[in-house]
Amino acid sequence: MIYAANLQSVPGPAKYQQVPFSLPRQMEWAGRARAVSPDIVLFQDLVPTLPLLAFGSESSTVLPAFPEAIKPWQDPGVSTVRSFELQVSCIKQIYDLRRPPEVTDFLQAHSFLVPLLLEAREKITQYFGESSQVLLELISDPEVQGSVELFGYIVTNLSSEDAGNRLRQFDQEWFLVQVSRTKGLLNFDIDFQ
Amino acid sequence: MGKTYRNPPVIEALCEFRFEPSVPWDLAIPGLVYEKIREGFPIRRQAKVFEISLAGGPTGVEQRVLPTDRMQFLREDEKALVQVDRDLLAVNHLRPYPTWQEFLPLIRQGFDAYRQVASPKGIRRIGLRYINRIEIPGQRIELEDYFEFRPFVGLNLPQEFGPFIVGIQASFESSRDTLRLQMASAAIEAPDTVAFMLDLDYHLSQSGQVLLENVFEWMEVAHRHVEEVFEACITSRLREMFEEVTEK
Repeated sequence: MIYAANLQSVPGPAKYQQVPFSLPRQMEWAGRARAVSPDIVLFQDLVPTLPLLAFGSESSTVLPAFPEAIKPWQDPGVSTVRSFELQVSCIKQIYDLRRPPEVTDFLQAHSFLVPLLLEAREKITQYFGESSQVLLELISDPEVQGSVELFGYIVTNLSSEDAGNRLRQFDQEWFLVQVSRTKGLLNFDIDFQ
Repeated sequence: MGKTYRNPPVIEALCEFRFEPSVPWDLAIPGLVYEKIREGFPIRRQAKVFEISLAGGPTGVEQRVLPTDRMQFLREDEKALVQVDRDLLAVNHLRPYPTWQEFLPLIRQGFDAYRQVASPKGIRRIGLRYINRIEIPGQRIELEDYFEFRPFVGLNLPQEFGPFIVGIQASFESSRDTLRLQMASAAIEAPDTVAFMLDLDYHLSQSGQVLLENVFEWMEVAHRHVEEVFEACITSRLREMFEEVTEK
């Protein structure tokens, strides 16, 4: 029996691709996260609901009846490695990534951005609506060697005035409060459709 | 005494305790645990983690990923950490994994601190888990050259395949414990290599089967089984790649 890497459906050196027990590709957002303790600031309204992951479960009427057969193979438990993979999987589902391997490598190197991105996505939905999409892209500053920043481009069909107002509100009410957590490596802007 | 390797594939080793509380959870507990271990684990961090749960929904059973925050106390080099959450303690060691003799005292340190602070009534679950990432040169390999644990593909099926996942659960110690063994193809990080994740999660099957006083006896048994199973999963060819260290 031969294992052939070239039979993987997504080629390339991305660190977090093709781990089969990461998450499914569809995600919906629903409900509110439960509170755990005052020490713990939970994402508001950030409870992803995922369809069951199983090989071919989408059309199976039998597999969903046996969730206990699926859970043990996906739960990251208290593993920091597995948990990070799961977080990056979530980011891939709620953002569009331009040149995904570059972005995931960047996130691995700057893992403090991951929870911030998860929080930001929910805030963007709040300010720009359910239909908003966000494109994540690494941008290099040509004038500063080695300077790279992750940009989240909020794709919208709102008027420039309306979108600008919403971005200002997003910045003032949320992003500027969080900006020290970005360490200068994350920013958001508007991308008009 | 198990084998020691110069290039061990362990990317994370962890020990997890879930406790039976004696009193309702006190939010001061993580901070008090930190005070006891801060010399060895001075960096304090609140980390976002995910917990997977399954629940009934309008369209049938849904998988929910609940984000939660967990206190992490990290060693200066950030290669070892203690995690504390509601009725939960975990001690993790990332790559490079030292030896069991060096990892065990870290577990003991975390456990003793938690026990003194939280006074748990008992143990609901203990787990000892080793996550290995195994990289092999080449783009196409014969799995049986390297692995004794692998997917079986009958001769009437395609003999060349791509991503896969295979897993079993096996009982140990008269069904007191369970080992969840899982192997899967993994993302490629270097050109002309293939990579696999081999995940060994040995845990207590039933709540209350191990007393707090006997935790470290359980731990030694768990570690012995994990080592045996790991060795049974790989062939001598892979062992050579890991470069066994033999003391003279």
